[in-house]
Amino acid sequence: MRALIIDDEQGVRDLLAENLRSQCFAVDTASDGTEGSYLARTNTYDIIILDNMLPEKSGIMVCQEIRKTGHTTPILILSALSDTWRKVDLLNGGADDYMIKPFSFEELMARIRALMRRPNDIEGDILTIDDVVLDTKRQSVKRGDKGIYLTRKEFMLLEYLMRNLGNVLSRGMIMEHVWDMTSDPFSNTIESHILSLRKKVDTNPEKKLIYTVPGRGYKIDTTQY
Amino acid sequence: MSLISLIILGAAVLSAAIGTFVFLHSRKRSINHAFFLFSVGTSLWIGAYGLIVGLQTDAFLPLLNTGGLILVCGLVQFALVFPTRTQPPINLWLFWAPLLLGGTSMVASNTIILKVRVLQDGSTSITHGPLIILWSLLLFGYILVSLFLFVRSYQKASVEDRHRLRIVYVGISLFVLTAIIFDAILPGFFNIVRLNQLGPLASLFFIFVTAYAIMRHQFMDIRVVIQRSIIYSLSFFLLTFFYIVLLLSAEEVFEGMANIYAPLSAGITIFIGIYTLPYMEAYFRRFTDPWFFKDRYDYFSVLESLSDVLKTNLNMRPLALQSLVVLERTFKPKYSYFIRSQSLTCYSHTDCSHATTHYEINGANVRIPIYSGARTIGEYVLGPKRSGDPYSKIDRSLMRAFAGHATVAFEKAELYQRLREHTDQLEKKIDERTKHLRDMQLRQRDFFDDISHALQTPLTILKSGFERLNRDALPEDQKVYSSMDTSIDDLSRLIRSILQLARIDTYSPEVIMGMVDFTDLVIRITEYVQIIAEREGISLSTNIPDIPIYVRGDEQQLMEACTNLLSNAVKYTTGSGIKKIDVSLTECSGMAVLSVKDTGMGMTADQLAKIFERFYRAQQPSRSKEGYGLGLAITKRIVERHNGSIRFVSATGEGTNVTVNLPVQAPEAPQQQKPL
Repeated sequence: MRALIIDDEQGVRDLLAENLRSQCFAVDTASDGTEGSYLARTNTYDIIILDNMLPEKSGIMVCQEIRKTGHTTPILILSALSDTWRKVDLLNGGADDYMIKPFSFEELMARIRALMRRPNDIEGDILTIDDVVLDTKRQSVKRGDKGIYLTRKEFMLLEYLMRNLGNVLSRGMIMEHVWDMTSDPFSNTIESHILSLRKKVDTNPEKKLIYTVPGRGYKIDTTQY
Repeated sequence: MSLISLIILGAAVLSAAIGTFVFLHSRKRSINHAFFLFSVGTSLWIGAYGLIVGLQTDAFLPLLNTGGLILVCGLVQFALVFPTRTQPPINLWLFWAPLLLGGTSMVASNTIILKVRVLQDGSTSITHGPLIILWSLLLFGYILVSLFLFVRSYQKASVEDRHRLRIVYVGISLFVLTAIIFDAILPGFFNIVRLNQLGPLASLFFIFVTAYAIMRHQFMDIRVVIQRSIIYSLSFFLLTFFYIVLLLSAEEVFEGMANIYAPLSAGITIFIGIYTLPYMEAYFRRFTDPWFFKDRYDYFSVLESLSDVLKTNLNMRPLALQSLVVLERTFKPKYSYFIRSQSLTCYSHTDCSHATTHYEINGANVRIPIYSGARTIGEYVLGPKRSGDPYSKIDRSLMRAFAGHATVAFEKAELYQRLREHTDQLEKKIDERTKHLRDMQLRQRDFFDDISHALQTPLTILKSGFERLNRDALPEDQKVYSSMDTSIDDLSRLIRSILQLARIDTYSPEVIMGMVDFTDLVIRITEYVQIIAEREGISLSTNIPDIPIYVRGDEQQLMEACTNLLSNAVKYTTGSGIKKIDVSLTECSGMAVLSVKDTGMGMTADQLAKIFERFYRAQQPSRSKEGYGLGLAITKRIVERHNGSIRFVSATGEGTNVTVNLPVQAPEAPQQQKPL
């Protein structure tokens, strides 16, 4: 697997490169937007990691350039700023995900893996696992033919897990996608909701669905790890 | 002495009187001198004639001739100086020489008129001497010359002077006409010589009229004078005609009684005249009114229209233009405009080209200056009337009245204009300053962003580095790395909080104030906090209405503020007793009131006082040390930015009650407002 890192800070570049290489990635690096954009457009990568604050060209511009040439490589943007509108702008500009600095590498890897598996993302309005049926249009959940009542956040959490069926979703990812926050003001928001979800949905002790992956995050899956 | 002689003498005296009066009125003007000469001459001529006829002597013949000479001299001089001085085509001395020298010598020789006799039928017979033809030619020639001079000056004269000349012409023509009729045509063609005494009398008309022309420099209502002269002349002719008819018919009727023809006819004529004169006058007046007074207007309605214009206009331009409309309608000038003194801007319906060319010409123009104290705001200029008539006294008095009213209106317009300019300037300044402030805030924002990036990047490296080390470390070292990792996270969060607090007050172009359904927001937050609270063993109860309560603001920030309050409540509701959090939302007199009440540890009065201080932590909560005390400072700032208020009531061991008030926005209000 090939990765491209575009960041003007040598420290960050080296660190990321080293970490990715230890995960068996072949890594190319670029120290500015022009070089990075060029590399991205002329080579094929499985993942591009792009810093938002670059000299000369901004991250969003590089992103747009890459997208203009038709490359659909997943792009993950690193930024120190966490404003919602910024995220929206970047995602609209063609980025696939967004990470706030500082981040843990584990978190980063979790997201990278999630991004690389995107094509397998389950699209569609109706998600199923085992006999759990989640209808996004009608905002309803059924286990078998019994309807389950979920609060809004619980529903969103379950949907997120089910869309990324089999993937480990880190706390950061969950916090961001479901609660649109960078840090947890209650420090146990996710745990509480996972607990609640398990109580309501994951009721079959023989067929566990929601898994906690220690140190990494949570996932929903049908097979035992 | 016959009655007629007395009348003639009376006329002579009258003529002299008028001449003297005119002369005394203004001794300096040469016109007055010329006129004086003329009237003296006429007086002498008439007087001498009267004396000769009355006293039946030839002794006054020289006086008669002298009078005639002086009369003509006066006429010529008058022609030369009225209305303005003109030069004769040839040298002045050569011009006067024949008249003066020739005339004087002829008079002296006493060979012009030899005898004047009054015949029995009352008429006079004049025996002419050998020089009579020469004499007549001389006088007549100079009369013609003066007529020619009059015509020439008419052509060169301004409009007002032309009017005066016309008056003079009327007088002259009457004079000449009557003289010709009574002294030439009637005797010559009809053999009626009895009326030749009346010829000289007609010169009185000329005297009257000319005197008037001289005295009244500004012919305001000269039309009235002309009209009157025409009326009276016509009446006079009518009466005379009547007299003649009477006389002729009396001759037929009363044959033989020659002596009573004249007095009888005269008496009847006078009698009829006195009683019919008013009717004749009225008739002729009505008859001639359309010729003279087609420019009549109703003074009061014009003044009213002008008043209306002045009242309803605040701006200089329409004020000037609309009043010009009324003035044009009333006076019908050839051109008109209003010119502002300061800026020399010109307002007009025709065009303003006259403004520059006619500026220095006076006379035919009428200027109506509008004063404000000692200063002139502007001036109306009206060109000569299209009808050619001059501006009358009434016209000018109307204009003066208008000018008086207009002063106030124009002053008001000026002030209004200045006010508008001032306001515009002020607005521009405000816009500039606002823009400047915005720019500064944007720069500040960029600065914060740069700080953030600069601080977080090394932390990233640190964090990743420690993570890496942690993977290969021994278990006892892993604990160390773990705590270092936590510290880095804390540091990072702190940086973010500080920057957030700093940025709440700055201008964010992307933050648009919208209509936020506060009810829905609170419901959403409490819904998921409920799950968390359950985990902690805290019972969360809500009292939230069904209806939406709209607040104008930024949804994200409001969410953050409410989440902050709830997280604090959860954090500090610990202990062994009943753990309860009550969240209620109501609308009360235009404010949305959110109240979060917990049964937590509460605060002392001291702690309460410092609660909003940055970095202040009342006590360590039992759980994590997240937040570093910035949460409430941020919340408070957010609430204030939304024009709301936040209040804490607390006592140790009794829990805390936070109340947030936010102004409610009616749902019909416009959705998108200016940026926060």
